[in-house]
Amino acid sequence: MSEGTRSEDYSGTYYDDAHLGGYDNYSWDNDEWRGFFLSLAERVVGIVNPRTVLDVGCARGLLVQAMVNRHVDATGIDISEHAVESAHDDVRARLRVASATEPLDARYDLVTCIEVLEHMSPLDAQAAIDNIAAATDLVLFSSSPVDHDEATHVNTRPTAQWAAWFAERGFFRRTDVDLSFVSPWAVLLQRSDMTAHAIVQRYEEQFARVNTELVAKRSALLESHRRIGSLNEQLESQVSGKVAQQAELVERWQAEVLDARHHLLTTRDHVVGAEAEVTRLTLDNKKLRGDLTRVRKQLGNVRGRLKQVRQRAQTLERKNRRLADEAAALRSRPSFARRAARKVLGR
Amino acid sequence: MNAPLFSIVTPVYEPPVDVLGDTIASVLAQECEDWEWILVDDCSPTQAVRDLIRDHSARDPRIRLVERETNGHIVAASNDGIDAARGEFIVLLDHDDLLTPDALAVNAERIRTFDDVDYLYSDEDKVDAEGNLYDEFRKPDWSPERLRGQMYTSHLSVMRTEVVRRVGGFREGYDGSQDHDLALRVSEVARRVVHIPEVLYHWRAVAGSASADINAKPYATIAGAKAVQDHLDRLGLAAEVGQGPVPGHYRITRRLDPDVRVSVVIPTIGQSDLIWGSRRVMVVEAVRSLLARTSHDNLEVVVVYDQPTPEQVLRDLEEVAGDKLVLHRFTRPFNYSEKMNVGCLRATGERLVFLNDDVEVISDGWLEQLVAPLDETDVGMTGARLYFSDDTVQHAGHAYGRGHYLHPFRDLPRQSYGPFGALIINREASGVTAACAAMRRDTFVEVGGFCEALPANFNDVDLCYKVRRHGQRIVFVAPVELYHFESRSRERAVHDWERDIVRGRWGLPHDDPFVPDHRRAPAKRGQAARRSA
Repeated sequence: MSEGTRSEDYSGTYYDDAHLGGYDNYSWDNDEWRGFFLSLAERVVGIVNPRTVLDVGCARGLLVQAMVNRHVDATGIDISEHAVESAHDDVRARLRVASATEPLDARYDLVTCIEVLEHMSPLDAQAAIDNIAAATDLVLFSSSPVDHDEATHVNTRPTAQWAAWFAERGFFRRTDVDLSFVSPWAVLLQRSDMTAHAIVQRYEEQFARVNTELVAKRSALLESHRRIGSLNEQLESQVSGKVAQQAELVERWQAEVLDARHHLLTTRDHVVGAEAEVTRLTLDNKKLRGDLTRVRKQLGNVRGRLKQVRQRAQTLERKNRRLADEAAALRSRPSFARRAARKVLGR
Repeated sequence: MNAPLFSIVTPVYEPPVDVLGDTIASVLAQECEDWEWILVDDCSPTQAVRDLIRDHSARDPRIRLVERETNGHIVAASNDGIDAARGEFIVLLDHDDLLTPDALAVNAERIRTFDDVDYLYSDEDKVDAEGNLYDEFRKPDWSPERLRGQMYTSHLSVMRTEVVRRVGGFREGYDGSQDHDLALRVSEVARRVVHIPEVLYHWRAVAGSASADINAKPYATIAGAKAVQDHLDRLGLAAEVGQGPVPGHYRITRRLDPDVRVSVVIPTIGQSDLIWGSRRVMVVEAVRSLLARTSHDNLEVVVVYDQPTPEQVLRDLEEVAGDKLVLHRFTRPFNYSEKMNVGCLRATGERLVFLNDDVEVISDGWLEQLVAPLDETDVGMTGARLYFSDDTVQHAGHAYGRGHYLHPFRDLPRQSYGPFGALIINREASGVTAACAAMRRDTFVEVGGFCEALPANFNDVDLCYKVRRHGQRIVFVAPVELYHFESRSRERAVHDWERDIVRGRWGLPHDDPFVPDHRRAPAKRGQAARRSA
């Protein structure tokens, strides 16, 4: 059997650092806390309108003070001496240090027990339920079924379990009351002499309401799921179409880039080739010019020689002509012998 | 006396006196007289050696004898000569070799033409005991990669004195290859290296000397490999030097950075052929072998295929190359250049490898060896050694000369070393076939890729011209071997207009700078030298 908690577990550190927001501000003077408890008190008064209230596990008595503020004769008990001592001056007199495992001294219109029993050992908690059941017919009960990592939560239970234990003592849940403004798991339990018929009817009403809601929500969920599916499909087909389009575009661009680079490469080849050709032609030209100069010089020499030869030829021709003339002159005057011969022959 | 242009440096150790006499006569016969000669006697046992030098020294003040007190071997003796040199250029002459009479005059002429020259080398031949000249080595123009494979600059080497001193002269520990070591170090800092394509030196083949048989000096090849390794280390080139199949020839094995992305671009039409008696789909086997023979992983294979390529060939390629394969469908009329250009533009690598589909890779690490030389920024292209299916050479670099675009080593047997080791060492070439070649991507783009006006022939020749005009070297990488199943009988038709395009750009080729024509008639100077024997 697990152990319960003790008064020392709820010292200043519990209030200042570790819990209740951990901001060192859990007091009546804090606007937010005071506002919260005043409104809570107002709602509770509105629902059950009690004359006397006992808050079991009242801590610094903020709820008690809020109830008093709403003209309710409220008192509180807590096992933490520190809590009671550090309570607000206006309320301290209504608080006393006591354990819920001890019988409560009087009867009350309403006993509130908010976030308390999960801090007690299972046995102590049963004793506390007994004591509460003996002191009232109406219980505002809340016990966190979660927050298992909080050190002093030694006895967390589902709300159904607490409700069942109270049912053993003749208390049943008021399903017409919604206490979710206190906590998600807060319930109002009332002592009543109910038949199984009435209880079943009360719970079936709730079950039917919840079930209807569930079925409606399930079908809405299914509808949404299908809608998401079809939207997804649409999106995907659109996206994949786009992607394919883009890929095609990229492929085309890549081909264009390759073409452009290819063009650049062949252009470079043309340029390099043209430069080479120019270089070669320049060299050829230089060589040809050299050849031309040499040939011209040779031509000059040849011309000079030709001139000389021509002059000589002219001189010789002149000489030749003179000799020819002389020869002709000689030929035109026959020799003495010929003339004598002609005479003799009679020609 | 003004400082002379040339300081001839000759370490002397016990040459036959008559041989030394011939050497002296060849120096005294120099047409250029602007020289001094420092002969460093390294304690020759024969007094007559020193007497002969002294005798000449007494008659010609340009001749100086430095007598070492201790025998210091070739490096120490040579360095003594360099220390004593006053000339602007150092001329390295061995004590039993011969200079041609115009040797210094021709060098002086080149020095006048190129005032920034730091190193000149010229062609050489050998002279036997009878004075016959043979084994003429007509050398390539300045070829830094080749100098790593062999000490090809050798004789006659003329170096600017200031540069020789700056690099620290000859180094101890490199005996037998001290000249190779010095040539490498001088070439690293030289502003200009000039090749003189004339024989200016006759190297005497005396039994036991390096010129007759390098096996006589095994320590020399070890020192040589060390010198080349030092050189590569100094340049920060990741490579290892090993001995080649012939002493004095070195094999450079480079390391390719695994982060370098390489794209192999292959054009195909998916044809099958009969190879060694069995039918194969050429491109599939080419891709299979190229992937099997490389461990470089950062690789893509871009296959540019013509439309008639069978679908099954493409599926087979996918199976062989997996995610390394990039298929590009080519829909235009056949044009090799255009196919390659498109493939190279599709490629994502920083290095491009052109590969025909009718090849099969032979050597392991072929891709690494083909691509890694391109890390040197002045290397724009590399090529491979290709064989016909009958194990004869199909390609070992192009030569452009005598009006033609040639495969100079074609039909030599696969085992051949080639003239002066041309087939077994890496070396510069005028061009390489695009059947298997690699390029830096930036170079490819800058020169405009393959010329598409040349759809079938000479597009690689034109590309090589462009690369060299771009100021970059083309390197033939000897250890990269492939079969190229090009039919020897089925010569492709070559049209005049194709030649005209190449000639139009680059002119008629005369003398190839890297593969000089061996059929040229021997120089007349050879005759003159015979007299001295």
